[in-house]
Amino acid sequence: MATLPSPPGDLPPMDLFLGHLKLIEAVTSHCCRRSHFKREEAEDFGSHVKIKLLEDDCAILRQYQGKSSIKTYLTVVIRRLLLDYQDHIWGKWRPSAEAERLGPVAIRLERLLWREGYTFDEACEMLRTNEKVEMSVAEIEALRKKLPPRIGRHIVGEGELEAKATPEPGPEERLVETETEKSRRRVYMSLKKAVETLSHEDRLFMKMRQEYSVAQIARSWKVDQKPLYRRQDKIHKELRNALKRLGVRWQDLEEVLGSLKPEISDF
Amino acid sequence: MQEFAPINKQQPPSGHFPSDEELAAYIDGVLEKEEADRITAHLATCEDCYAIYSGTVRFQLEEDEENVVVFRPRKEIRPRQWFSIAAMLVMGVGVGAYYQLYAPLALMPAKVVKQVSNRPGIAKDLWLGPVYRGGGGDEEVNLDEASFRMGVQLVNLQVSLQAGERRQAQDAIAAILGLLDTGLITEDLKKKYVGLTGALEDPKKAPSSFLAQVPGLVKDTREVFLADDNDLSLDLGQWVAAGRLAAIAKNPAFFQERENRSFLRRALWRESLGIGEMKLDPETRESLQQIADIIEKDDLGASDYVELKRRFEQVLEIHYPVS
Repeated sequence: MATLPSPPGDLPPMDLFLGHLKLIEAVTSHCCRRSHFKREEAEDFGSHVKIKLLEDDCAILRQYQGKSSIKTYLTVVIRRLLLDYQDHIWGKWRPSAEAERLGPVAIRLERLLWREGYTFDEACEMLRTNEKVEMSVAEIEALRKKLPPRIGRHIVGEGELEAKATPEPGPEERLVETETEKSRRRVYMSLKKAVETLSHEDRLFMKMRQEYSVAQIARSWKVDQKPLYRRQDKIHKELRNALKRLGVRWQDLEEVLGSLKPEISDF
Repeated sequence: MQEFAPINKQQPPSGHFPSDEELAAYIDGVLEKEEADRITAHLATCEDCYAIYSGTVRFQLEEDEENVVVFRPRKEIRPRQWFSIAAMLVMGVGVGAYYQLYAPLALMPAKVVKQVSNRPGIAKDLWLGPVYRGGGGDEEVNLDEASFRMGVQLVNLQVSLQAGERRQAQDAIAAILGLLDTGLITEDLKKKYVGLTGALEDPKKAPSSFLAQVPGLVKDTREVFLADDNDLSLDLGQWVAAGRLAAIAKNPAFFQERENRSFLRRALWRESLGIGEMKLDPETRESLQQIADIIEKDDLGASDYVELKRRFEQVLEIHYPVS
């Protein structure tokens, strides 16, 4: 059956909690897996979720009015708890504008390095092996060099600190960067402007295409995939025209996107 | 240290933040259009809400992939079937009657839609259904849903080609390809469907000129798709999709046709005797029983068609929900 709203019923909130414990644990462990939590972090987050769901006489569950399925509701609640939890332990984190401009691999790399505290070698291994990123170590290294230095919440011992090289690029690297910076910025801003001309639904679609296939989007939107391909073509055409109007050539865009193959490079 | 720019520094998110339940209802697809549009606009511009939305979608997709509709392995006739056949013979049911029930039923789309497809604007009434069912719903449904859905889409393809609806025909093929994705050894067949969808792009050729290809495709699809010859799920999908179109058109011809009338009775009998793999859930069985009772009438009235449409859609909602 399609997802139907579960009736709120007269179940006491505690019964709702116990009745969905398996789901709660499945969603929690999915969150931990996707966030690459270490074992202790996963355990901590698992307890955090349960405490939050139980606190104030199961206030979160009592708020549920049956407008959606309980399953989706709980999944959304736990995802929000994850976001709050990450903000709490790591501070509010956003990918840098540069990483955003460079695409999803850069965003992920930046997160692995600066938020999750992996070394470059570990991050490389994770991207190439676990996340099937088809880039050489040299290409990832080139990408890392383009990322602005950031300070993560990773706790480093004194000895390790002494051995660490500064993440800041040297003056020469900075000089080279500045030469192309202006033109990159212009292309990036034009791209942003072009995307802003799209309808909200098209923007959401493009956003999702960064991480999902058309078939997956069709499944989650519960629509047929064929019209989505047509929509994608239409969006690409619109973006191409908007960029042309803004004086951006394909070569400029290619240069900015480099060897990355995010969805945006399809047009 | 270089400052990093928050994504929406200059541009605050559109609209107000949805509550968790509103966002969940949006993901479930149960919101009114206006409300859904508001949340779409917000998600397009708010990174936090998008992260929650995307995380939930990811969880559902990965969970769905584990429960994807799959092909069943080909099976031998089960002891229960032999027992049913033997019981019928012992009870004195003749060999003729046995064949009536047991002989394979293989409906062809061209034949099953013959009585319903000559109506202008018919393509807009097709039951398109998503390729995959949504999340949720834990009840056991025994009907082979992939086969049932395939039956519905074969009717859609046939009707769209006959009606000259190029895009609709391509959509039906896309849905068929999605269903074939769940099976093995379907590469050659998929190529044929892809070839047809490509050929349909040629504006010089009328969609109806491709109708001749359909029987071959249907034959191959049955061969790779059905678990055994006694599986009625695909035929039931065709029959229900065509029956619904006939009910919408208030067309008695479909229900008067001898083969169409007898198909359902035979299918219900076979299911109750355990012949073939098809098992119906109680709700579907009741709807089909009601349909069978109504179409027994010689003269169908306006209220009968309304009830028939409702019943057909009930069955489709169970096995091929639109949302």
